[in-house]
Amino acid sequence: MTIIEISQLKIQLGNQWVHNGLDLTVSKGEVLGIVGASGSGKTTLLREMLMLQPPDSGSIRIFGQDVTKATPDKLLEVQRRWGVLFQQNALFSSLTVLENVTFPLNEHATLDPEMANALALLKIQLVGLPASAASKYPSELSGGMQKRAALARAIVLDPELLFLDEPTAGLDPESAAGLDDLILTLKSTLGLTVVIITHDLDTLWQTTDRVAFLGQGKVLCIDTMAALTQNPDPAIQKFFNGPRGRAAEKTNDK
Amino acid sequence: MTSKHFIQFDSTTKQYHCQGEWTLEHIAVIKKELEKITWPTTDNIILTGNAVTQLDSAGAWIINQLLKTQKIKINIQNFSAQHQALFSIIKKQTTSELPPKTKTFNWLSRIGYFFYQQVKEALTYSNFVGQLSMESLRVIAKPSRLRFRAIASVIEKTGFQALPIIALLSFMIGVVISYQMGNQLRTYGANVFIVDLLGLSILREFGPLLTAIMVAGRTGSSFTAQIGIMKLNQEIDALNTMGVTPTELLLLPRLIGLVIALPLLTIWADIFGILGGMVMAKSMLGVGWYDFILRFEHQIPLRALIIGLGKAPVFALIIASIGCFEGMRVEKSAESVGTRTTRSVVLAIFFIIIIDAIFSILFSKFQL
Repeated sequence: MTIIEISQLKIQLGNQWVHNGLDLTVSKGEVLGIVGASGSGKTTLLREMLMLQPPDSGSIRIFGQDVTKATPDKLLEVQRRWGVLFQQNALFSSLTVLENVTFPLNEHATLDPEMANALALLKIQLVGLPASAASKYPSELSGGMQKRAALARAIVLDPELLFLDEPTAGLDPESAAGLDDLILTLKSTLGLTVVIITHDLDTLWQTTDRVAFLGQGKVLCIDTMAALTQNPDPAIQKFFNGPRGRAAEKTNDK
Repeated sequence: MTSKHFIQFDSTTKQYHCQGEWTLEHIAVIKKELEKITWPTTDNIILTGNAVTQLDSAGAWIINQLLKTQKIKINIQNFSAQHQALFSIIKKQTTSELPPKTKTFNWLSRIGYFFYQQVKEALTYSNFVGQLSMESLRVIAKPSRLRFRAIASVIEKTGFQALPIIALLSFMIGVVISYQMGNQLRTYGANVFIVDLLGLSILREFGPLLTAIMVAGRTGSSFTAQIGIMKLNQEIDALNTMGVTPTELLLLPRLIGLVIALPLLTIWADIFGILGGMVMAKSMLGVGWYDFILRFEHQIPLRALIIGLGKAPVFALIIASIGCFEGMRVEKSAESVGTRTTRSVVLAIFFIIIIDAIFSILFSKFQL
């Protein structure tokens, strides 16, 4: 089953075509990585999928609904089925972690406060935060803990589709590895479809089923990580065959 | 779904069958149904899950809660492997401990805390002013460190761009004062005294005071917000690590710029205030332009203008130092930018009025 289907997506920012006829499909239950050099339009693609930035032309179908043409009601239906982890976490700074996580619950589900708190607390612990962190404000947490809190908020509605923008950026190796495991666990138990934008080669090796490489406004290649690194395209070779790419490949060789 | 119930008791096999979508969407209904069931107290309970079409973490959680709260052992049967995995994750994670509640204080300790906070804030402010003064001395000793471009830009933004609004408002105030006083003066046939009243009140009080209040709202708030956001973005930290103090680059130009701009704005406000009064004096009281200006020259001492203008730099120091101080006190959250900006404007206006009152008392003591 196809969850996301993007066809002939075009967008111009400034006087540069960031996407020029981009096609991409994501099927149910897969973890798709999106990579590309800086400025290749990864974040723009995410913003377009989330309808934060309307594309100039082309269509983006998520759960069969073209979000570029959706009415607010239809869009809300889609929005309730996805969760997003932003690069800067985007936690509400005036709310505690628990309030942050219960926020979508209170907005979109009819629950008594006690149950909402219990469910939120469950998700907070699921992402590896101690229960004591729940009553703290985001500014009182470390970067890694903030990331986890933001992830807890993203998955609190049990979304079918999860967008992660640079989930491991700024995390220590142990937390990053923990997050990779968490993504896999969520995928297997909740049947999540995950779209990850990342530069972290280890995450790409560990978690993704397929990886889309963006360049020249298109998807240059979409394949498993092992196959992608063998792709002869010079841009792809440059990306994966630097010293870091080779090191990551070696450690993740199975 | 065979029925609209999520859980059904089969009396022949003595089993409870879970069915349908055990998801967040239906969790409230499921919870109600579970509460209605009178669980047997003797036999083991068997819960089957082969008819569950969908189970998410909320559904798994509520079953897990059931297992924990019932005294009788509940056996779970026929759930799919994926659902079993979800159960085991949930079981591992749930602890019954709730996060510690934040302490609440009674009214007395709240007053005490509030007072303590204010005193602390005042001390921090005086600390800030001291630091600012030391830094100014350092910069004055080496005037090449003074950033003239930054000062000019502050004067443009806080002074030049405020000219239209200040002109309009002072004109209105002139009209209003003239109208209110004119009504009284006409009763006594003392129309021409409007000149004395207008001249003294606008030059000594209304011009400087209203300009300062306007600028506190317009400029003080923008100082706080600008510096506050820079602090959130770690721009202030970056400056500190580069050996450029934020005081030198950000605060002093604002302080000096405003000290220059505010007196100029005050003269501008004086002119338009008197103009507004003149227009009203002519149309309502029949005091002509020529008479007005002639009497103005004779009756209003230069002292009145100088006293008014003398207050302006003091007000400027208050506005700029409080604006910058509150900006530097912004911490971590967007909310803090909001509260600090509010504080900055409220405190600046508060102290402007206090200082103005003190000036009035001093001037009357020295009979100025």
